[in-house]
Amino acid sequence: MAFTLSVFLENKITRFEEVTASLRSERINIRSLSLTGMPHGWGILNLLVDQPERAYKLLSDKGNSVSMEEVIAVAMEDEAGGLDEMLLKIAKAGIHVENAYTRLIAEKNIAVLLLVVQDFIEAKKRLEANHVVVLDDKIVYGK
Amino acid sequence: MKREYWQEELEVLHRNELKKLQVERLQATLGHAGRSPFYNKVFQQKNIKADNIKDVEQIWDLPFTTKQDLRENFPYGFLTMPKKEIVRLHSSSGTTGNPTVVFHNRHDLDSWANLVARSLFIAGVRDTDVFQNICGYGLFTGGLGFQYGIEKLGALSIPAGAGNSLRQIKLMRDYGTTAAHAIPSYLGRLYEVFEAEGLDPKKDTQLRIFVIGAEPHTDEQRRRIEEMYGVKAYNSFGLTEMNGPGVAFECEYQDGMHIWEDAYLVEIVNPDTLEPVPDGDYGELVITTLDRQAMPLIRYRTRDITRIIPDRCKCGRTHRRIDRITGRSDDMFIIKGCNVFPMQIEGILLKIPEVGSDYMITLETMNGNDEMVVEVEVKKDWFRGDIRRLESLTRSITAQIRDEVLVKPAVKLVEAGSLPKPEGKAVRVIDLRNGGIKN
Repeated sequence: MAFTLSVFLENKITRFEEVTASLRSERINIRSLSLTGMPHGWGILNLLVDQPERAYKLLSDKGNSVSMEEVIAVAMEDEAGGLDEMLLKIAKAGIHVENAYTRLIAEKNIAVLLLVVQDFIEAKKRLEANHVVVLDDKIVYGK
Repeated sequence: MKREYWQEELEVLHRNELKKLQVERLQATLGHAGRSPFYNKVFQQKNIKADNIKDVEQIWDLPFTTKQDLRENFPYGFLTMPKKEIVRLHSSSGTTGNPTVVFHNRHDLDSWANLVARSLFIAGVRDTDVFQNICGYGLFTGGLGFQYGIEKLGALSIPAGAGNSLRQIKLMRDYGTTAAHAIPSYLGRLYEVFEAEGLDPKKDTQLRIFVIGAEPHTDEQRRRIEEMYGVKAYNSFGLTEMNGPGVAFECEYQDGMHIWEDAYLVEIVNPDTLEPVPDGDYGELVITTLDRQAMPLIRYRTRDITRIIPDRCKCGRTHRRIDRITGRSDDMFIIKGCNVFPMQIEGILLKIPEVGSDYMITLETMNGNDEMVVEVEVKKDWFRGDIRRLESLTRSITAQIRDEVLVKPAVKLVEAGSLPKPEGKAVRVIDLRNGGIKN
């Protein structure tokens, strides 16, 4: 079980930095991010942080439109073909992926694939049936 | 012999005679008006009798009529005769609230067509011209209004309708169009299509006259259009409530628009005090119809700001000229020839639960094309981090605004709390356009 945050961002020069400044002030560590959709004049910043609940409250209190979503984290080999190997298993499990991002954990030599799916519980069940280990959030957050 | 006037006896009528004609027609107009439910009530309350009017200045004793009156008495409250006599209606856009509707009997349509013909004639259009009317037909008055005027004048009309630039160019080239009517911002865009096709309108068409209007533009923009196309471009003024096109038009001197004073009684008033201002001073244009039977309007507040140009025009016509419209005394704006009230957009947003009620409208020119950008705030508690939800919200707001005002907006979602909060009189509209014409 892990959570990611999504923040609605206007495409203004300072907005991205305002978010990171808030997190910095509370010593919340960003482990991974992706930013999508800026051509609309707005975008969504997806953040994986080490303390998602705190970050959610902090950003929300500062007036941001923010949501928290559960993601599934699975481990891949950090080598060529590692992602493909994992995607084969995911496809076999019949899981439709809505969004995905990755994070490297260098000291453990693993790559984490984070999946946003429609039905979290069902997806977790199917992955485990296909012998895919769903990672504990502590590993994902890197605590 | 070269013919200089469409109706010489009326166009150069001595002003004393013109005033006499106005008094006669004002009496007749009040006679008609008194038969409508709305004016009947007003006249009774204020004890107004047509026969008592002996001078045009007495118009100052009559009450104003506003757009609000038209809406409140929608649809038939201003009608002076049975529907059997009515042959056409024109109406403003809008799907919420009551539109502004104007009814015409046969006399009204003939009179209007004649005014449009006279207007086109003073801009130099003749029965030998091929006239392409590049604007929407239907309820909008620019389509049928010009159509009947062109036919009355005797020119060959091409009812081209709006848009589809490649087809417009083909029509111009196939039939040798010499004169056309369009909104100025469209002509900037059309020129780009000419260029993209490797064509030069100066060489590849026979265009010589453009009639422009329905949208604010500067004299520089007019000159630019004239250079691009190698034509003379004439400014015009009209509004649905006063029939549509043909209220005021530029003559060959292109120095202000002659307002047809045999058909329209003109006043310029201070929009705050509603007192008349002297000729030459800017104020709100107030018009009384003098030749309309089915739905006369008395002292109608157009909300357009202009002035009477005091001197006599070199063309010899005695009908006074109004200057370019410099603004509005309300918050209506015109984009792509469509009249838009910010309230219409506010009304739509209020019904969409996902967005707040604050909004900002920016009018700007992008790639030679006028755009209406509408910024709206996404409510915090609705946000779920799903791009598709936001995109579908954008599409839905776009469609609803377009259905209401007939112009497709560029809807931009912004963060909750980022738009300025209204304090007193909120600025909701910022106009950064240059009329769609590159300088």
